[in-house]
Amino acid sequence: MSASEAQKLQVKRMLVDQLHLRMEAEEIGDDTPLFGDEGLGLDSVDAIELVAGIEETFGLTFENEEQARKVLVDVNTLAERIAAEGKFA
Amino acid sequence: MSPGPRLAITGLGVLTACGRGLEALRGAPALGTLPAEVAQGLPRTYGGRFPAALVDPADPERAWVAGGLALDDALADADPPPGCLLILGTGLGPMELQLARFAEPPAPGQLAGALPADLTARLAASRGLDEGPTFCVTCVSGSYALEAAQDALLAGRAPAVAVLGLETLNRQIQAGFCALDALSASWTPGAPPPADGIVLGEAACCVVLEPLDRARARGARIHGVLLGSGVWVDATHLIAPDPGGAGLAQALELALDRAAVGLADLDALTLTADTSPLYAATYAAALERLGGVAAPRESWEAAGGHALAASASLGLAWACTRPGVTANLTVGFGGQNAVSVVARAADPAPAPIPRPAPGWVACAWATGGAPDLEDRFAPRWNPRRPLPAELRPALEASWDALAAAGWGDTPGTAVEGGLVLAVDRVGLAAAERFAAQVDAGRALRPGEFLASLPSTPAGTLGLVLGLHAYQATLCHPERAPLDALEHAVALLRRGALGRVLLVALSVREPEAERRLDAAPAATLAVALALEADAGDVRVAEVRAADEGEQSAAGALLVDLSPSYRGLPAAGLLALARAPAPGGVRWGARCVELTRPGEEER
Repeated sequence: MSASEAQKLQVKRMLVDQLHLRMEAEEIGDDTPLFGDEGLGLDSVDAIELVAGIEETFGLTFENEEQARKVLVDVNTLAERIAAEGKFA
Repeated sequence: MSPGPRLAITGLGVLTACGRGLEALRGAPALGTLPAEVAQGLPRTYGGRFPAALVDPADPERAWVAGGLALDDALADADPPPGCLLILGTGLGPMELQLARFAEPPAPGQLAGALPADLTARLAASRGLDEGPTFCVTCVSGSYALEAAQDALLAGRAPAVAVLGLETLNRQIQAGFCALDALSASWTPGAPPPADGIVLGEAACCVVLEPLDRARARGARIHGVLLGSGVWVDATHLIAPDPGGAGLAQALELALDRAAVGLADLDALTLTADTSPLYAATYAAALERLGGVAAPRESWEAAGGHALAASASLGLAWACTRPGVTANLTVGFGGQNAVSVVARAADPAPAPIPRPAPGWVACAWATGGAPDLEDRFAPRWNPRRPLPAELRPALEASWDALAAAGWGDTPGTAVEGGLVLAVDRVGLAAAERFAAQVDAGRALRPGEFLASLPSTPAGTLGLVLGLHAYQATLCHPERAPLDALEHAVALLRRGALGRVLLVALSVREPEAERRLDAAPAATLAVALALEADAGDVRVAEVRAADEGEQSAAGALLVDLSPSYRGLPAAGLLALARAPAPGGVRWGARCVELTRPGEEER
């Protein structure tokens, strides 16, 4: 299930708020990698923060690390998962 | 590289979840389900606490009680000569006391007595010991205490040093390690920790160290001999060591070098937190780098759990009970790697004479905080993430100090050198926020837990500055800068490091301030540190880093050396108390110290 632009923007705002990014939500590309030097440059501590933030904001939890790894790729994959679980308000 | 001094271990005091004494730690596992007040609602609910008969589980003074038991046993064992110094290594100090006081409405002075250094002061005063520094460097706190103990003995500052490693297991620490996802998910009661994470266990372990010749001369019982130790920080990540094991291999080589023994001489290795997959991989990689080590690996953690800041002193005590030469390996947050080498035999090679080595200290004392710091440090920091606000001035001053010192053309690229950080009470506000988060049953935020650790500022500074090799944090509400200066100078004199960046950091945390009712003493303490009798160290250059209201403090410091003497302390305190924008306040300057004979930079 693909997510709408508005839903993706919600995800981007969550990223900026939870991780205190020095950028506007709109500046984040849908397919910008969350981790690694090419993308937002998040690290392993950010990953745990992000999982906590996703749970807090959307009520989405991950069953295991493997599942989280597949979802925490970029805004597209994250928003799709939240939409598929019906977690967007 | 100067070989280190041979130090006799003449006193042992061990208290763990298994009970009192080291033999208990070799017995049945004592890990189990933690009481509700510690673990209720947390994703991991097991660990090891001191036996209730020895330390009351509900006593907010359990750190004081446990530390006292271990200290008393060690002192009774060693019967050290008068003037024995106490040096404490602890990650969080008397956290139960802090948690109890966080739960009450803020009142002035409420947190006085609940800081890590307060524990050192109380324990020392009550036992007639000299109060030494307090190191808060998470799992390797005890390793840094050992380094300082060696320096104190070498310099003749004390005839004996009691090194106490101490960590209690409370709701804050258990929740913090849950937030970091560092605890085993599959442990079952009665079994040793499986290889998917650690199980925490509280511990207090004290070892009394003395110069070997003097211990022999006074007829002391010698349990073992500390042959050498090594610390190496790889500054790779805030909570992980270099996974390639380079930093740990370096620490092991340093320790072996100072001990003047080879890998093949080792009869055993003790590894801490090696059930963490990350750390296990680091250990394996480090040993592989050195060509493999045949010695068997041992650990007390199956019985007593991971002892955090008590690990280093437990390693010494453990090595005293097994034959041969043991290397104790510890890794910790901030890319910390520490190793000690201990021989049970009391007759190792004659003590080598250390050679003084040239070295210098760059001292940063910062106010303000430049707006473009993230961009400046982009090579070592993700510029999309803001640097912690409370560290910005320290980074700005460090930038200046590093540039003035000529430590690499671009601050932020990797530089080999030491970082010694003096903090008064950093992390209290974050600790209180994290405690509230835990109590409210909200999703645990690892960032808040990390921010509550006194060692995190140094870890972050080291990471951002790219300053690796050594990274100590000394905590004291007043004299931390003095302790830090002394520690840094001792490291230089011993030849352990060629250069050190000394940063004094005083964070004004309005929430914590209400509970402390204490003047931010760091301004005064830094001033005192700069005029302190540092022997062969002198002030070579003083740099101002900021303008405006805060530059008044700088002007004082500029005039510091001889002309400062006699300046009323009240004047400095008034400056320190002056309001600052944003409720965060810093003192700030940067000064370079050199030894005579060193070319001025």
